[in-house]
Amino acid sequence: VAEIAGQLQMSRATTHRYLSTLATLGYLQQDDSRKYALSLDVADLGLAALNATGLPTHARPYMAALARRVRHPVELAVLDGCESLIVDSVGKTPGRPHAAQRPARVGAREPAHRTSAGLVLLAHLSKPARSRLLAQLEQIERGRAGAPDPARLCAMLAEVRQQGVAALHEEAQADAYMIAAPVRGESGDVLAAVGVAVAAKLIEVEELDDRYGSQLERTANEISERLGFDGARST
Amino acid sequence: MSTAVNRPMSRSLAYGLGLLRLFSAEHPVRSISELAELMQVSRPTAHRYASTCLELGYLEQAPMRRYRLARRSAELGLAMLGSLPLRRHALPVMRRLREATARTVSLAVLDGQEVLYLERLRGCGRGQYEIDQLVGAGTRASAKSTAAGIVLLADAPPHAAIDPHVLRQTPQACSLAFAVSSEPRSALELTLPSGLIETPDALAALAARLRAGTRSLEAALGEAAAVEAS
Repeated sequence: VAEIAGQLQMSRATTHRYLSTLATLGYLQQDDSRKYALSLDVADLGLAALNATGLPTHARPYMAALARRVRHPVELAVLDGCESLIVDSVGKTPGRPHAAQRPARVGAREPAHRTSAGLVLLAHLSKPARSRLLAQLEQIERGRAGAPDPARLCAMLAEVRQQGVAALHEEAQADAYMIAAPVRGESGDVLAAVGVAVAAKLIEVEELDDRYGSQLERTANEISERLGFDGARST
Repeated sequence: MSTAVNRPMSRSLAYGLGLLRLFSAEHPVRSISELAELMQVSRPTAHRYASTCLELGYLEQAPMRRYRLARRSAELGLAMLGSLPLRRHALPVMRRLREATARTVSLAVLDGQEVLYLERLRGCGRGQYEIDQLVGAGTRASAKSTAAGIVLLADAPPHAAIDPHVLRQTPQACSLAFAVSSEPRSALELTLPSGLIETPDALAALAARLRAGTRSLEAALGEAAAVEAS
């Protein structure tokens, strides 16, 4: 009680009243030495609602804000097996000649190495998980045009880890480039990738990072924070 | 609100926390009139509590003059999770288990008739996103409907060998729990049986017993996987 009263600059009596309220409501428990600790019920105060809300619901306001700023579609993708799966998309801008003109692609799947978001997601997997998925990809893509060269792909993934973003001309969207950045959850794991799609005729792929990289990373960080990620704690 | 013992209570604090609890997965967004009705207070009072929470960063404004939980409201829960030795010790084991299987690995404790997930590391197997997206640390589930819960309810014998304990199947997911004993003195040294990591197809869960302070925590390490379409 004394410690808390000191930190909050409240009287001991007031502090005691608050602490016993919290203990009565089940949010605090007292150990043998009469010190207080947070109880499991604290998880019900916000963590449960946070984690029981779908990833797209959390990400959408931040994605929409980014889409308005950059005036290009913004997508959210997760890794599902060795494919990247688009789970949300905002900012289709009909009638805008400068935007990447594509239908909503929610639900679309592509082999992960063929998309920017997929590269980001592969890059941040643990080494054994990555090796397993790369082996699967190699098997699936064997004999197909544009099959990945394993050594080159590994080098690309290392580069993505270092740069924080991946930029690629995606075959699935002939007229657009995509730049993607990682979204982390509370445990620090990368859960998703958020990306901006830009019409290929507007920009060179090398310029994507300079033009959109920092805004995209800021959005990815905002979504990560929303999901409980605390950069300071996890590093 | 009834109090079991005659302890001094702060009504405003109780109301404030009660207000935050009204937001859930089913009701992520609330209006002032809804809050007033559920708290059984007048609208101006509900508005005052909501504005205070907004000012302190626990709520944020949603469209149509409604409110939703802000990131900060999860911080208490995150602090609680961060303070649990069980979770800290289990994380490396969970990561290894996930690496070996690519499936989602979770750590759960029994809290009444429910299991409370303390951690859930998502796997990247095909179909995993679908079954995992609404379950994370801090979510609760009926103990009887989860493999981890059934292991915990079954109160695995202290020296049980590693043994498939429960196979639980829902339309989207199945999970299998193994019970593993741990001596009280080594309760914090969760170790993964060496055989397990070499059998990536095994769906596994470890149950460990932990004494934290005066409260005994039963925890289960569980694994969930999408049901293969056959």
